[in-house]
Amino acid sequence: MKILLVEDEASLGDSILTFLKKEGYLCEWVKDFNSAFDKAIDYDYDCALIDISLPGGSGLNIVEALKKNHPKTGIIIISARNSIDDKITGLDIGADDYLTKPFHLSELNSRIKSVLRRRHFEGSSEIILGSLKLIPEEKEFFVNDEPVTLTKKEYDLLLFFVSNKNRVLTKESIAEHLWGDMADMADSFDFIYSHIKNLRKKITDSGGDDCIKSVYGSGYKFSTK
Amino acid sequence: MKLLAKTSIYYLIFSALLFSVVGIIFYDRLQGVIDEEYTENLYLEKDVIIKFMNDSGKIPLQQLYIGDNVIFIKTNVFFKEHLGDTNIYNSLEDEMQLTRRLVFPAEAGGQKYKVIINKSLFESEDLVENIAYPFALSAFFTMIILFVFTWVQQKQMWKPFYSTLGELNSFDAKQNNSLNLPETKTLEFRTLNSEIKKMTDKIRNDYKNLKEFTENASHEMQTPLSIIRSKMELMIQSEELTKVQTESIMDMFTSLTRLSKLNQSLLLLSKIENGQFGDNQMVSVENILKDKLGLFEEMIKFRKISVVKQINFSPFVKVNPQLADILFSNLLNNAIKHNIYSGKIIIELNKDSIIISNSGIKPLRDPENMFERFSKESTSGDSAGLGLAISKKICDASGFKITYKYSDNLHIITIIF
Repeated sequence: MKILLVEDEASLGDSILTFLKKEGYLCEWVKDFNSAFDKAIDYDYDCALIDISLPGGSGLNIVEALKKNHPKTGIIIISARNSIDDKITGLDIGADDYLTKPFHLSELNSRIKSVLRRRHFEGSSEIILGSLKLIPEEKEFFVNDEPVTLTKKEYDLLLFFVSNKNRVLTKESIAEHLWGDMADMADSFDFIYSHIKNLRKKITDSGGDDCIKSVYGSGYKFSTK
Repeated sequence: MKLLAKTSIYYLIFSALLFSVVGIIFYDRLQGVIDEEYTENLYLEKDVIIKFMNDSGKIPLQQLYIGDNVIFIKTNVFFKEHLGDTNIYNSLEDEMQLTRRLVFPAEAGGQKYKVIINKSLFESEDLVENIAYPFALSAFFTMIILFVFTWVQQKQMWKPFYSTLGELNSFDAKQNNSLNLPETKTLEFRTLNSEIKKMTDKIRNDYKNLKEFTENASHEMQTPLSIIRSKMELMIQSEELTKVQTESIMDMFTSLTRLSKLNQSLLLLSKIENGQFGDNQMVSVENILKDKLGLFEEMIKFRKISVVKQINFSPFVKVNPQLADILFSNLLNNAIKHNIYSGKIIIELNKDSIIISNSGIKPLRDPENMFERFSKESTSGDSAGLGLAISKKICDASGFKITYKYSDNLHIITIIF
């Protein structure tokens, strides 16, 4: 999977690059408008992460160029501007998603996965991890091919874990994934704890492996043997 | 009391007093002058009578002194001349009349007489009245005319002052255009206006700078925050971390989350203040409510909170949909956050108001300031105390009125559309 990262902030770009490489993506990183524009025209990527405010121009123009030349590329805008207008404009001209800074890398990862799934499997993708099977578009979940009913939040939680498998997920990033701006709700951590407990119980009750482990002090980790 | 009314009342009291005093003095003097005139006349008559009696040796004929009653009484008793006022019955007019009486001794042909001249003061009273009444009347009218004149003139004179006042009243530091102060030829008002203009321009400018500073600062903070967060996230993934290191990183992580929340809230506040949200639309409050309750549904269940919805009317309200979204998220979030386990939330929707009540631990210590920024009742670190400040700002920007009260163990937030 080839990913184009357009980000002018060196340290942030560096983090994202390190992260994506660990995830096994092939990643190219450009820091200014002109080189980003050239790349967008010349090469084919599976997914592009584009910062809107760039030296030399607006990332929105790169989104347009990508859409024109490589319509199959999934596009995620990453911006410091949390403005609905920007969001709407970005999505209108063809971006698949919009992420506001500061974001969690795990969140970015889950968005990339989701975009790639939609783009590359036309929505008919299945995620199979050992005895577990997820069909994201249908919001269905199977353990040993037996359907298991999950609540909406439990499903979101599971998908977030699956997208970030083998990585430690902090409670903060989980809360933000589930509630977005409302993540500062009281007891959201207790709520997460209780939901993860329920989720684990549902999986093990159906005979699946207990894949969600709590990591001391920092959060949770999903891993399959 | 209005300035004009006040000066008018002072003017009226003062001029009434002045005219009364002048009137009294005038009346008194007039009476005095007439009085003296009468007395002088009496003495003149006396001189004429004495001269006549000396010259002719007879007493004069009564007819000579029409109007005045002169009586000659033969006497041998010695007495002194004296003057006095007395009431005498007048048969012609059939009434008692005030009369001035001069009594003096005189001699005619060797016979001593006691001469009494009675001069009726009736005419003098008439005279005084005839002069005093027109005077009082004209004084009264002068007063009224002057009053009306000064009223109109003062009103005209203070006009620039009142327009300045009106402009000041509608002054809003958030507005971009400076005050439209009236042109005036009065030096004091001109100075006042120019000073006010200077001051308000400065206020507006300071406000704008402060606003821009907050906005820029919050904005510029986003990127470093992103960098710190991403670096820390990468760090956590490391297998080599010790327990102590992990704990430190997690504490940093939690603080960082708070910081970025705070920053986002400040950005949101300044955006609302700047009116950077789009146009208002007609929005169904019930629909937003339903939507938000859906979002919090699991949390509400988790905390075993019972929600009672009482929809008396389903109003459509003119508001920016995004702001309405934030507003109701904030309010419901608060109602859940500050609730007790197995507590309740009561939502009452009326034609022009919504009332959200929730059970809670205790009444707030400081309800007046609860809509202020950074007003926190608890020291728990999970909120910055900006939620209600944002709600208030949204209400202000949308023309709603938001109030808080505590009664029957319920925290009650009321919004009047």
